[in-house]
This record gives sequence, structure tokens and C-alpha cells, in this order.
Amino acid sequence: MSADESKDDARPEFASEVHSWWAWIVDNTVAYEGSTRGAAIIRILFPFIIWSRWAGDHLFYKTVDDPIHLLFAVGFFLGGALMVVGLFTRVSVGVMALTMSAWHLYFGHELGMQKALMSVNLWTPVVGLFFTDCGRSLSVDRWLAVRRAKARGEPPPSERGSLWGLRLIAWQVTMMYFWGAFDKTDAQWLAGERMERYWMNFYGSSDYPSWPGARLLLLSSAIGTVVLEYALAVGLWFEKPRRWLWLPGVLMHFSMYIFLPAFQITWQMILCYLAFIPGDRAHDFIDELLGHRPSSGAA
Amino acid sequence: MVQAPKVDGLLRSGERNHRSAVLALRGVVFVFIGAFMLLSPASRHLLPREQYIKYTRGWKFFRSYGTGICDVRYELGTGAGREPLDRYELLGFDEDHRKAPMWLRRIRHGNRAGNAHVDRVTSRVCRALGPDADRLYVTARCANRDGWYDVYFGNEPICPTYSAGQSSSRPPRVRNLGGGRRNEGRSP
Repeated sequence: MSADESKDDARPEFASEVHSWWAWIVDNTVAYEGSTRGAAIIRILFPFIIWSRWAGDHLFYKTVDDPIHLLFAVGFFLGGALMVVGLFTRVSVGVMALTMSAWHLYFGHELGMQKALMSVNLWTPVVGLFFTDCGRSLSVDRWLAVRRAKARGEPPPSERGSLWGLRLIAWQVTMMYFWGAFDKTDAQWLAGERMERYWMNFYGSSDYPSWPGARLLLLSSAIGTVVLEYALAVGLWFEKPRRWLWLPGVLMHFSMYIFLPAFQITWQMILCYLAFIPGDRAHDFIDELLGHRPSSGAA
Repeated sequence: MVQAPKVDGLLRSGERNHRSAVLALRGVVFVFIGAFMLLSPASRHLLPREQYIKYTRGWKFFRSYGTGICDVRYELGTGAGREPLDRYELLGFDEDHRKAPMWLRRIRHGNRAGNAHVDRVTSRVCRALGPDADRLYVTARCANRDGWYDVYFGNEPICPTYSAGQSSSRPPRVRNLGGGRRNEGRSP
């Protein structure tokens, strides 16, 4: 066989390899589909996290004199409420995504409100959720669709749908872990200095902690946090590491919630872990939980 | 009937084109948002401040928490060297340190206050020491966003360095010391 012939044989093989890789990328990003139950749980709980953080700033007596703020408040409360119950879900999530975009971009960057500038971590997941069919599960929309199907004598509609927005939410979580860990990868953090000051400021005093093992504990917590954050940034994407990482991740956030004023970021990060779990896996888990046969969202 | 497969084929081809267009549109949005999520915090870590990409954060968590707290150590010079001095005991709060007033427990060094708080507590310790004040050394380091930085090195007696005005008998203004106020930073 000549060199030219062997080149010709290799070409289709290479093209097919590229094609299969491309198909894999498309299937796992913009064409990503599955049961929408995981996305629905994020949809239901996310407005509560947002409200618990900012509802106090948009109460009607504070907004009634300012038409723009009033309009914003209507979107903030009404969009959130409809998002929770899943009525007109696509529209309500869209309204909430617009509201959060306005909160961050207009109130934060245009008007210079510091607390609105800090809202990125609650803004982008709602935008990501807009790019999912999260209303197909656990929603009033779903209930109405099931009733309509029943009336026509048809089986209940599938809970499967597009989930590519979950990839954006997962990517956001990865970025938060990666850059959070990157920021801690410096001599001061790795020497435990910031942990020392957290302890002294919130629990101790201006006397360096003298209890046994203090230095070792603060140092190991500092190093452990960085290692875990890097591991979460990468490992949550893969099934096997995810099994081992989710619990330490939850415990890390929960300990931050208990020991430091970390507020809504704890629940937001834990909730967004659902974005890494394949939709069908989440669906089957809920089926098992309810004592049903796993159906992966088929009906 | 003969035409049916052709029509089906056309329909399928139309659906495929529609699907491809939708996926391509999604791809544009996906890459745009994904790149924004990556590059915006990256710019905050890797580029000078004036070149930051706006609209997101650098995910620098808890950097401001605990800034201003000082690690302060008082020592008394003796003939043989130095021995630690318990400021709580000296100022009459020796039973339980946790019951001591916050200005004494958490000595702070905020940007606005300079080292006023360290100095006020120290001048009070000086006064309480009386004639032994000349033997007081203070080592203090305070926290800023990047780590600890030294305020006093403890290499010379501190009390004589205070002017007469600073070492008056007036007690420290507790409300302005900032010691009782937790610097909780900004919540992320």
C-alpha cells in the first residue's frame, strides 16, 4: 500500500473521530437534555434565596414613589412567586432573569448600589434557568398538562426537556470555586494568616489563640479549603469524583454558614450542585424516594 | 402516494435545519455567557485594576472579613529579659476575659482610626503600670486584606514615646474604639 493510499484511508477515520467528538460536545452542551426535575427543584428554591437576601429593599412602601423601582419590585415578587409555583414558567423565569439583570446592571453598575453589585452569584443562575424547560416538572404548568392529557385519554406528558442552561449554572459554580481557590493560593492564606484573623475577630480576641492545636487546626483548615475548592471546581463535573466530593463541599459551605456571616451563598452553592447531576439520575432518585419504578422522565 | 416519502424527507430536512439553527443560536449564547463567566473574574485576578471587565466579581471570598483586628502582646522588661503582661489582670478584668469590655478584648487597627485604638489601650496600660511603665514593650500586628502587617515591633519601651497629651488620665473613648464592633465585611 502506497503512502497516498494510507493517507486516504486515514482521512475518513479522522473525520469520523472529529465528528463524534463534535457530536459529544454538542450533546453535552447546547443539546443537553434529560428529566427536568433537578432544574425544577432549583427553580422552586432559588427565589426564596433571592428574597431572603433582598426582599427588604423592594417592599412596596420603599418603591411606590419611584415608577422604575416599583416596576422592578412587581417583577421581583410576582415573577419569583410564579417561578416558585411554576405557572407560566418560561415567562416567570424570564421576568425574574430580567429583574435580576436589572438589579445587577442598572441598580448596581448604573446607580452604583453596592449590594446590587454583589448580586452576580444570584443573577447568572436565574439566567441559566431561563434556558431550561424547568416548568415541565413539579409545577402548576405540569399539573395542568397532565390534566389535559388525562381528559384526552392520553398518557401524561414527558418530563424530559432541554437542560443546557444547567451547564451554564454548573460553569458559574466552577468559576466561583476556581477563582475562589486561586485567590487563596497565596503565602498569607496558605500560612493560615487569614484563618487566624477570622478566629481572632469573630471568636477570640487580640490575644493569639493559645489553646492546644490552634495553629495546626487553623493551618489545616486553610490548606484544606483551597484543596477542596480546586477539587470541587473540576471534580463535580465527573460522576466518580462527584460521589466523594459533594458531601465535603456541603459540609464546607455549612460550616461557613455556621461560623462566618456567609448568608445566602451557602444555600445557593449547595442548591446549584443539582446542575451537575444528570437530569435522569435526579429523576430516578426522586422516583425511588417516592417508591415508584425509575422512569427517567419518560412519562 | 408516490410523493409521500419525498415530502417526509423534505419535512425531516426542514426540521433538521430548524434544529441546527436553534443549536447554533444556543451555541452563540452559550459561548458568550460562558466566556463572560470565565474572563470577567480572570481579568480581576490577572489584569491591572483599570483593565477589569466590569459586571461580575473576582470571587475573592471573605477577604475583608476580620480586617483591622490586631494581635497584641504586652511584655514587661526584667533584668533577665522580658515576661508577658496580662492586660486583663492589670486593668481589673482577670476573672473571665470573655467578660472584659470589647475595646480591651479586640484591639483594632482600622484604616480610618490609624493605630489610635492600639495606642489608647496601650496608654491605659501605661497609666495602670505607674512607675513600671518605662519597662513596657508592645508587639502588635494588625490584619489587612492581604495578611498581617506590623504596627509595633516591641524593640523599645512604648510608654515614654507617648506625648503628655496622649497619656492623660482620660479613659479611652470606648464607642470610638471600634473594638466592640465586629468587622463582618461584606457578605458575598
